[in-house]
Amino acid sequence: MSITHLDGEALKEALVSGLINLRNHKGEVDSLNVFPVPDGDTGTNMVMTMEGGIQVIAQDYQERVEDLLKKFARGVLLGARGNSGVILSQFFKGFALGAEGKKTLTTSEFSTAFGRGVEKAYESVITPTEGTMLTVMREGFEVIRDLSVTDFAELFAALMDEMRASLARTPDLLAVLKEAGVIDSGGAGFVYVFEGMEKALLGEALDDAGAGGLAGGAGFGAGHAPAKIDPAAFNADSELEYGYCTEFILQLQNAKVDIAAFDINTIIGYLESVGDSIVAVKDDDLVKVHVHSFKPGDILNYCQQFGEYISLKIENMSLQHNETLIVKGEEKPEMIRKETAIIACVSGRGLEKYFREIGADVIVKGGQTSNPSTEDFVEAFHRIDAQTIIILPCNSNIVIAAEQAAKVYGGDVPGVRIEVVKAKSVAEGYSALSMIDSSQSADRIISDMNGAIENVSTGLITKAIRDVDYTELAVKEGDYIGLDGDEVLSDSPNLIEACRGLLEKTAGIEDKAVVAVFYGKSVDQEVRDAFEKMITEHFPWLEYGFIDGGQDVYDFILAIE
Amino acid sequence: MREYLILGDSTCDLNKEIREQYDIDYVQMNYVLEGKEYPASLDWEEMGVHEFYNAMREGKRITTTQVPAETFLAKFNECAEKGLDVLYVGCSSALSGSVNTANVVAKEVMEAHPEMKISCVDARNSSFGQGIQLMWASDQKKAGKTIEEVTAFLEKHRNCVNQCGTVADLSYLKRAGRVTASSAFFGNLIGIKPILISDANGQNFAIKKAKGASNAKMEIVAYLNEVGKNLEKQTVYISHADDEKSVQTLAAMVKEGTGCKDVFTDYIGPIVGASVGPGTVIAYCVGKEETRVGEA
Repeated sequence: MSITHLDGEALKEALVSGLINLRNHKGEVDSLNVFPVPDGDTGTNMVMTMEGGIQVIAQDYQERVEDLLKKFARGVLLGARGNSGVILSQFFKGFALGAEGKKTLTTSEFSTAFGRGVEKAYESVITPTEGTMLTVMREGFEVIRDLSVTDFAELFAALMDEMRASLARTPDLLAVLKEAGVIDSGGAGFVYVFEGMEKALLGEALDDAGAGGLAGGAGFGAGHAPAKIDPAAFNADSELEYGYCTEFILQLQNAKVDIAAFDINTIIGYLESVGDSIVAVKDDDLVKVHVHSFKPGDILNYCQQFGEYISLKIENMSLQHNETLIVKGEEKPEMIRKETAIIACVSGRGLEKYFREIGADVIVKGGQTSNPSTEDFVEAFHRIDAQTIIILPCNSNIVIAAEQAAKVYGGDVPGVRIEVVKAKSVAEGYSALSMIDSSQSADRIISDMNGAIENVSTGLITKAIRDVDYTELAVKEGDYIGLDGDEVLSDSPNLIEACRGLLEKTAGIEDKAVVAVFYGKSVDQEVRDAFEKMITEHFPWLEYGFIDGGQDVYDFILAIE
Repeated sequence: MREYLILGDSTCDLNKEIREQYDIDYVQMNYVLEGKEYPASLDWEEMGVHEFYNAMREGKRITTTQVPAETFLAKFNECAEKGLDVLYVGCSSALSGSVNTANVVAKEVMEAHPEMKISCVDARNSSFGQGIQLMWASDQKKAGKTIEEVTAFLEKHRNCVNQCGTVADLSYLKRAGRVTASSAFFGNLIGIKPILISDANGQNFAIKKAKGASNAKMEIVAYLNEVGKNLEKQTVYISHADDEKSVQTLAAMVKEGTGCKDVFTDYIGPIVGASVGPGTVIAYCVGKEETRVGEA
């Protein structure tokens, strides 16, 4: 039996299966690193991105393809994390645009939509690099574009053959992949998504090994894993202590409100009077809300005047043993009111605390192994009442998500200027923050930040997780390696030697004056003493100081200025 | 015309040689270290300069007191007996209450001695920023100017004495309440040096940051060039809190970078030193009138 048309439900099942297949291979995609450092978060990011889309569509019966894809694309965008996630989200946005007006899809309509997806994906990257997910999808498209088959099984067979072949060719296009002996991780993730879709179309059910419960249709909401319930935590004599974590998606309705003109601040204003920990986002005709309140009923009644609920979740927070939720409940984020507010993306208790101390108003958790989503930024924007918001991504993988968020939010809330200062590492973020005077104008702050970033060199020390041959260095698994952010500059079985080698190879080290040393979780006093001895002996002109970064992956992060 | 005495205090940082050359007297403030009070001598008689700053380096807290009223009273009465008027050029009133005290005591003394004139000028600066004005006063007195004329001159031009310096650790000034700086200057910032000027009211004001000691010195040179007038005819005065190497480097950079006639360096005395902490270097020149008032 051939499949000639895809309807909403079939495509939904295919997308769910795509997510499951990707999730089942998440670890593998993560490990496809171009460097022998454990910074492979591509799989994790892509899974989270897909989950954002699936959360929005999994609950309901999906009749029309166009409706399904529109919702899915929006969900994927809000859940997008990391560069690969943003590119993937843009692919689906284009795919949805290409399927506009369609109740079902034929193979040629599918191809057309796929082509729009490829276009959008290319547009989302300022300088598209070949040998990545982009190449894989484009070459896949070039094959199905010219194909005259009517059966989706044949279409997918050809698409998957080409995309797998294209993926295998990525090392030829991108030298950095070849050197490390891997294929592109984003491309691999993309192939797994479509492989999962193919399996669903062929009627093959997948075991969901890493299910967080979302694909099965149980969960939704702001990316929280379902809370574990401890019934003993609330009994007949308990007092309501934290209130209810209330999350819902509201479909604004033409019969009730002028959707285009509807201002999300109407709802935010009300929510502020009855709750806290508020996240409220309007995306076209959907409103997504997260709020902690003692009176969820009032909120539901209030918001129903604007639309109807697509989904609801209300949980007594005394029962939630989900750590992140409890932490959020206690946090009670206060509105930050100032002329210029600064958001920095760092992770780890030490770094977060330190960045706050030196002037970051809001921390959006993010770093090498977990990139924040567009929604995480939008949530942060809602906590700030400022004329200018400056984002310091502190990681090259977060720059695009930050820019995306600025764009999404800028459309919703005119009059707020959001600037992304392209700090591509923790070191650059630190340097930018350290040199500003927060009492100055936004323009001066931004120019001081950019000036500081120009002069800083980033140094990273970590343990290699596998053997790799570089042109000049042969790295052994377990060696300590020193990176300048892109390149491996030093390699030694000895941590301090790797640090010394890195400093020595840092361009213009003889003209540098100051090194801020963020030491990681694994670094104890003895190691710091050895580092100190090394630097005073070999680099006596450098002023240095230690900061307890508490980071996971890197033993040391150096801001060399 | 009555003769008059030119009087400074413990924050003017003029050494004995200069004081003798310019015929400048000074009244002493006091400082307290480990519960013991010492007179703040600019000649380091009670405690040597290295001993003093090393105590601070060891983390010992040194507090300071303004010129006591009795000291002013004794000095003014001594002058009254000698038939001398007094021109007191005191430490910035934003940093010390001494000028205020002097005014109160002066009023009393002038009531008792109606023929006597005591003029108290707020230098709106300290260290050599105050010292320069004392030397001006001395020069003008020698040129035959009256106490009124010199007073008017100082009040007109005191904000043209420009200060630009940097400290190794801003927490000393912060603790002493003698700096205006936004919160961005505090926190554990590695190698960040605040650039400090004296604002229109004579309060220290952090105007920018420099990364590393060398960049900070370059900022100081740039600032002197920006505000200084006729630097080629001026001596730039640089005071330092026991950091000979740093001050010599800065002196060479200032000489080279501004083309000034000469550079004079000396220690920051115990009172200013206790507020700014070891490692501080501050340069002074004459130029544009400072009109900014620091806002945190």
